[in-house]
Amino acid sequence: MNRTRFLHTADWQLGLRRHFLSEEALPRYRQARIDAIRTMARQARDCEFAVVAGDVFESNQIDATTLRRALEALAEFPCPVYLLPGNHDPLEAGSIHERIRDHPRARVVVSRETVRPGLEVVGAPWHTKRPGTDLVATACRGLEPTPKGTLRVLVAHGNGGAAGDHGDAALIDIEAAARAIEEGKIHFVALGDRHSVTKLGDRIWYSGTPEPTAFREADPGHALIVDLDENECRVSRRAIARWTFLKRKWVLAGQADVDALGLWLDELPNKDCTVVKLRLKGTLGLADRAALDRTLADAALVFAGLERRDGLAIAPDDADLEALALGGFARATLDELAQRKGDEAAGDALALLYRLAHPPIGGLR
Amino acid sequence: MRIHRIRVRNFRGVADGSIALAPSGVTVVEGRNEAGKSSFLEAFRLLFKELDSTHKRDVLDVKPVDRDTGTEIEAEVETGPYRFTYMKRFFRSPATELRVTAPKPEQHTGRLAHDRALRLLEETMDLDLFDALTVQQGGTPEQAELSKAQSFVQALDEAAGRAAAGDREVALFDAVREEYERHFTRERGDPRKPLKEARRAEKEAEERVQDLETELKALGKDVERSAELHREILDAAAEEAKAKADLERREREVFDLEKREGVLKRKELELKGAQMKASTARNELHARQALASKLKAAEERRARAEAAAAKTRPKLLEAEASAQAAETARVAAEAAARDAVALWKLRDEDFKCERARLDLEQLGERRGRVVEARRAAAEARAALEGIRVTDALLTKLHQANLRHQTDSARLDAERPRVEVKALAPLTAEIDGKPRALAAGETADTRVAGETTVKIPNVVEITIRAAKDVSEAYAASRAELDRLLAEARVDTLEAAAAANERRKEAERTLKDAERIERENLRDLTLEIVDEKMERLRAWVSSYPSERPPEPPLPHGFEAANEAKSAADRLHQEAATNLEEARLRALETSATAQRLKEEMADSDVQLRVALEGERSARREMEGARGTEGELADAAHAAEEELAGAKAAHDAERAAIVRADPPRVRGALHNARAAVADAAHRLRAAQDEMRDVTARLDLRNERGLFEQVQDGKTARRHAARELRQLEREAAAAKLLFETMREKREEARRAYAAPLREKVVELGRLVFGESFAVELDDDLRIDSRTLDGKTLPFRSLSVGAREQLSLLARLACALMVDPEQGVPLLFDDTLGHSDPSRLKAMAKVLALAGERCQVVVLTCTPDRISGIPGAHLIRLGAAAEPVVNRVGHLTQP
Repeated sequence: MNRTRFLHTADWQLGLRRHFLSEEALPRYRQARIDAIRTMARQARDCEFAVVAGDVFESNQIDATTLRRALEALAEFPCPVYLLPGNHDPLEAGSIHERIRDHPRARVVVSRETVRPGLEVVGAPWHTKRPGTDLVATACRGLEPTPKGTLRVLVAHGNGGAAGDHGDAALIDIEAAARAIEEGKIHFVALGDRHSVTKLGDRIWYSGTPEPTAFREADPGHALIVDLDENECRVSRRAIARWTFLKRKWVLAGQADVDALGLWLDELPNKDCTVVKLRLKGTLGLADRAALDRTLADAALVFAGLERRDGLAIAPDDADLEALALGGFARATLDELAQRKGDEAAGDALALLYRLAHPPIGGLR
Repeated sequence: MRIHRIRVRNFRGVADGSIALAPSGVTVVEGRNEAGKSSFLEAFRLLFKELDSTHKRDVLDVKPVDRDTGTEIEAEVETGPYRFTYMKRFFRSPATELRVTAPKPEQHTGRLAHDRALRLLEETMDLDLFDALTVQQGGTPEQAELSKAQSFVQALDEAAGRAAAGDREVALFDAVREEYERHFTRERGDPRKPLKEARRAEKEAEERVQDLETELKALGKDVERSAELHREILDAAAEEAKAKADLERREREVFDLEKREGVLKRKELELKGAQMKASTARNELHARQALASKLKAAEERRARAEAAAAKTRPKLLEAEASAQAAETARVAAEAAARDAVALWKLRDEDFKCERARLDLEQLGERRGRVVEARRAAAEARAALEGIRVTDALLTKLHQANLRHQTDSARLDAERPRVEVKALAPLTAEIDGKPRALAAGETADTRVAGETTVKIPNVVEITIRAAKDVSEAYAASRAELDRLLAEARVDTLEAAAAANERRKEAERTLKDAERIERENLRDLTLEIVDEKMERLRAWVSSYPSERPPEPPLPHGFEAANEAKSAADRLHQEAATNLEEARLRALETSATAQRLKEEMADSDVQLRVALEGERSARREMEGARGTEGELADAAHAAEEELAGAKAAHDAERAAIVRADPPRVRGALHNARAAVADAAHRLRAAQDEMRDVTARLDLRNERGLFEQVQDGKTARRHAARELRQLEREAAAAKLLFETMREKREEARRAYAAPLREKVVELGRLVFGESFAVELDDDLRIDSRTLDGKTLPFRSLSVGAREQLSLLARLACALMVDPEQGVPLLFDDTLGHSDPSRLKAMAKVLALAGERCQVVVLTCTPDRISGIPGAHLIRLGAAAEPVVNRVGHLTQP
């Protein structure tokens, strides 16, 4: 029986930047995406080939360094790697794929490639950012059922669900793809575009992106190893990502909450490859707010990125007042600012006042 | 701070001088104008303010104009825990020296000394307050800016109650302000550099992103254009291929057409060849036929010439014989005619002779008649002599007679009748004629004209008739008489007879003339005579002179007869001759004509012979027989017809192919190919440009640059946001706090007001009150229930109030932080009573602070209890006197 094993990945988005990363973290993040290629190359050691189902590059206008490094990493694959132009890197004029030539491993799959006799890879590449048609359906239309014993893998890119980013016209008709599988025209559809691992059928999968690119991604950071023959298809996932994008909402009501947040942050692994996005809510006194600021400032130093969305209210409590022990116009100032609830600037002003006045200023005249 | 001593050298007009001030209490420095009082205050200020190396105007101004030497300032000062001597030398060998003696000795020079001295002041006193409280020379002192003086504000704070805002609050406010001033400038609240730079950085990052995105957009356009061009190129190439295929087809069509046209041309040539060949064959045949005809005609012509010659020859012989005979007859006739003429001439002479005889007779008769007539004429002419009456005269005579008769009748009728009746016998003379009259007789007479009746001796009576009748009668009578005389007759009857005779003679003359004319005609009688003579001579000689034979006929009639006979004979001979001559001419002409005809025939024969020979020679020279030639011509015609058919068929085929259409199509196809190629090339060119641009841009990794730019923008924005948030917080905090502090201050302005009022009442009395504004300036003064704004007060009052506020302030400040009160030439506008009161206030102030009053009029500030007095001399060297205290004058 003709069998094959191959690695299915997609959406490398090489050349991608993330604005919330610090200047220090960004180069590491980029490097991590190159390193992911090497990781996958190692994972592909038993594979006959690998497919990258689109969006290999974030854009066609990619820096030469990025391209060179990607090609270097690609060369470490033990098998041919079929790169599919996706909506980010379509095979239009000046496409980045035109710059990939005579690579020992990487090939741009434009239509039909024979990996070996009895094993074909059919690509449904994007030629433009707006193809206006279901490329899978188009690719399937041109296919006859394979001869007995021949395996055929379709590599495609696009939204296979409801109407998505690329508009209805480019929507992939999954049912039609399933029919093509039933008809024996193809045996596996390796999809890209969705950044999370997604199974649309026994033989229709999204591999997701090997390194996360956004907070909203549900299940990124994998590559798929597919064992395939005419009768059976086994898909197993391999963790690739080193980076984590975390999004968390915290409601803070007092010191305990601030401490808990600090502890949570403290316990997160791989901080230097972790980006955290916090949404903070609740009300804090001046001291707690100061503590929170300190905690987050410390955390920002170790995490690759720390995004903070502040919905916090600042309200001085008795302890604050006692600690500050301000009189005269200073106390009047504090009272005035404390009255302006929900005013971010007032909150900031209070925090500043607290910082300047606490610890109690001594030694000054 | 307390000033112990100030010393200046080479400062303005002062060469070297010093003043020692009382460390507390009031010091009055007195001196005339330009004594150098103000120089000490000015020197003191410059000492701390300016570096020894300065070139500032206000330092340069103090340099003595007459000496090129260093200016030196030295002061001995006590401030806070410190006591020090501070010296600066400007211009020449500049130097700064600070010698601190307490609390521990230290010594500094140069810049260090300068900085240290400033620090000592800043540490221990309120420089703003010092500036605010010092009153410079001249003009009205302005109100002090007390709110700027830290130590004073502090004093107020204290006065307002230290518990409310103590050191911590003040320090906090400072910290808040410091925080605020990290972001904003103090005075105007403008953003400082970090904020500005963050904003600029964000803007720049934004601009860079926009630039890059613009470029990326351009690239996107290029990409799209590239795709379009790709399609265009494919389209154009396909179109070009199609156009080329079409062109090929059209070229083939044209090639075929041209091939056919080549064939047609060949066919045309063949046709022309066949035409020429047929024409040649036809011409040859015709030439041969013409040659045969020519030969035949030549033979016929020759035969005709021979026949003509044969016919003419006998005729010619016959005609020549006839001509000979006719000539002979003509000669004979000529001789006969000559004889007849000679005879006729003779008979004519004969006839003339007979006629001469006759003429001679007639001439004789005519001559006789002429002689007779001449005689009758001579008679008539004789008769005419003596006759004067003519027909006209006769007529006149008759007329005159008639008139006379008439007149006579009238006279008779009209003449008075005179009747003389004699009464006695008497003789009367009537008209001279005596007439005797018997008695009773009557003599009757008519008076004609005048009649005189005279009776001699008796009487003479004259009777006159009417005059005209008688005169007419007389005239007519005279006329009648004159005419009769002219006619040489006596009577009228005689006149008539004479006239008849005259007429008869005139008729006779006329007849004679006629007779002569009729008989002589144009001859004269002499010529008639001569002629008669000649005739007679010839008639008598002729018979002898003529030939005897034939005999002379007798008589005129015979001669006439003979002449007529000879005439007839002659006529006959002449006729004969004419006929013979004609005959000879005719025959001769005929013979001549025939002779010529004969010659003609000979020529024609010769020509015909020659033609025939030539034709025969030609015939002998020609190739082929006529039959052969006819066959060849026929064959050529057939060939021509074939060629023509082939040619026409070819041409029809070409016409059917429609060459203009085929060629036009080729032209169009070529244009289409060129057009397609042009478009293809244009698209390719543009594609090349676009591709080159794309390559260039792609090499640059524009997308990543945009991403980097966006990241940078994001970072910049974040930083800016952070900074702005901090700034906003600091600003809000600062402004809130400042406001709160001002509020508090307004509360503690009260102590100052109270102090001013307290002092003021010493000067103005118990009804005095003031209100202060937010900046702690006096806003209004109330006196005797009347409130006036400060600006509306008199100069003196303003001056006093300003001074009072300063004094109040000085009195409120902590003595340790206090500053000397320096008043230079002040209170110039105050009246003596106020001065006196002010002196008390100054003395009061002197209890807590060092007060120095500079004045040029010692009387003005004379009443200050416990004041030290220093008098400055007029010269640069001051005279320093230490006067315990002055008593009031």
